[in-house]
Amino acid sequence: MSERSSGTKHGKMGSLSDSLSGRAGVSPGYVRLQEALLRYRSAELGSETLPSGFPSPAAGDDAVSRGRSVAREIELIPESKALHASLKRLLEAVAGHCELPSSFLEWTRTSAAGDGILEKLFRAVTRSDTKLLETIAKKSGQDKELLDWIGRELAKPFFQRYSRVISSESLAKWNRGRCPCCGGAARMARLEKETGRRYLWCDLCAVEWPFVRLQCPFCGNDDAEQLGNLEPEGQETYRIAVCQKCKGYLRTVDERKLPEGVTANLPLEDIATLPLNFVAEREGYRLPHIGLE
Amino acid sequence: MKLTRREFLLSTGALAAGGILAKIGLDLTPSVAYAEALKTRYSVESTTICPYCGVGCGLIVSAINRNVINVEGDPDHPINEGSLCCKGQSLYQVATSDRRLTKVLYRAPYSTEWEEKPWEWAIDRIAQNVKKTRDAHFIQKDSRGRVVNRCEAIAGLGGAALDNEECYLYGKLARAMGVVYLEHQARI
Repeated sequence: MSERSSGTKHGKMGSLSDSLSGRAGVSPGYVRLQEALLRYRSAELGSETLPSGFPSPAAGDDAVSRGRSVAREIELIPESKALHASLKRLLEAVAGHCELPSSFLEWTRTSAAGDGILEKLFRAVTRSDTKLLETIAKKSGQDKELLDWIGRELAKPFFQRYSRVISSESLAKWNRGRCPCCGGAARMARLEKETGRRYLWCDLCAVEWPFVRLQCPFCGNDDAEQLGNLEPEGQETYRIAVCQKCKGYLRTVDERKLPEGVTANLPLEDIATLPLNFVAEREGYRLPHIGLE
Repeated sequence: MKLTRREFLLSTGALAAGGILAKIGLDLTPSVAYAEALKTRYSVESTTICPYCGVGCGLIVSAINRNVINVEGDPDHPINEGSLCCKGQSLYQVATSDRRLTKVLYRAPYSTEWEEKPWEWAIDRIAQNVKKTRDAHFIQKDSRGRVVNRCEAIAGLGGAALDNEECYLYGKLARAMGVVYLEHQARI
């Protein structure tokens, strides 16, 4: 997978504040939090070695080349020690940029430290296993959405280190609605500058792969009459692909509308287009969840 | 106290996408306010085939309220993979040009003026002229007395804009009238 001109597939970029200056509707506090998360991920991604406990690159690439997402074929759970160390660094990174409840911070220091609870949380969020997440939330007395968010942020560096081993050839042939690495739902999409071909992007694994234009990546619906686009007025670079069947939506950047030589940086656009989520939800659509079934 | 829509959304964290962000203390007021003012239009896309030559390139046609707003090559079509020739690229104009004829225009013999006519009139007129020509030039037997039942005064030309079924019907009609000069644009 080639690097994007204004960033890379693994999210290395310049200052977010600089990149997003002048973009309407961007909340400064949200940008500062994302900058902190980006610094954390960059540090975690510094190591070229695969997460301990993860399968070999060949095993993952083989699964994708056979049309199976890696996480569906192989258990992708890091070793407990590495997981706990990463959680500590993550909480340090976001401290001061958001307000985590004291009960939650206390839980991370005490209960979450034992009983394999972090591994369960890791499994729940990376497999979109809502039942398991609900069970953890109920047992721990913590907010489900908060657990989901911290779990995903925790998982990102591990999955992004692993997604690097999936070959470009396998990704190019994938052409499915779900992520080839984690098997989850795409977060954003771009229409390629030269061809108009659609590429889906997973924020958890930071990979992109081609997918047909006239099909819902979430439910597989290919009835053109039930598929559409919400086009924000005055923002021709963006559209929100929607499906009337599953009510899912996907923020999309049309690179053909960007200036000459400029392509979309989806990690950046994910942050910049936060308001489009609100627009889509206002119109009755929702962020889809795809589990591994 | 009456809450505005924005206040309601922010206070309840009702938006799934922003719910967790509000829960961890982020002020999303600028994003919500921006989204609230942002209007959208709903467009649909459908696939079709280019009406020009016989290559059969795939197209994606975008429309709002059944009005075409864009025509582009279909990147997922195996024949053209998103590319189009210059004629194909100008298809949008075929649908939207103000010079496109939308009504029947008729110019009578020796007249210099065009006049609008109803479709029914035009179809009747074409049928009458076809029958008149066919009856006047129909050849039942050739010079050696063999039955040929043909009409050499009318030629038929199909086009790439016709689909299989239309080509079949057109071929049937032409042969029923004895037309022997029957061709298709894609073969020329």
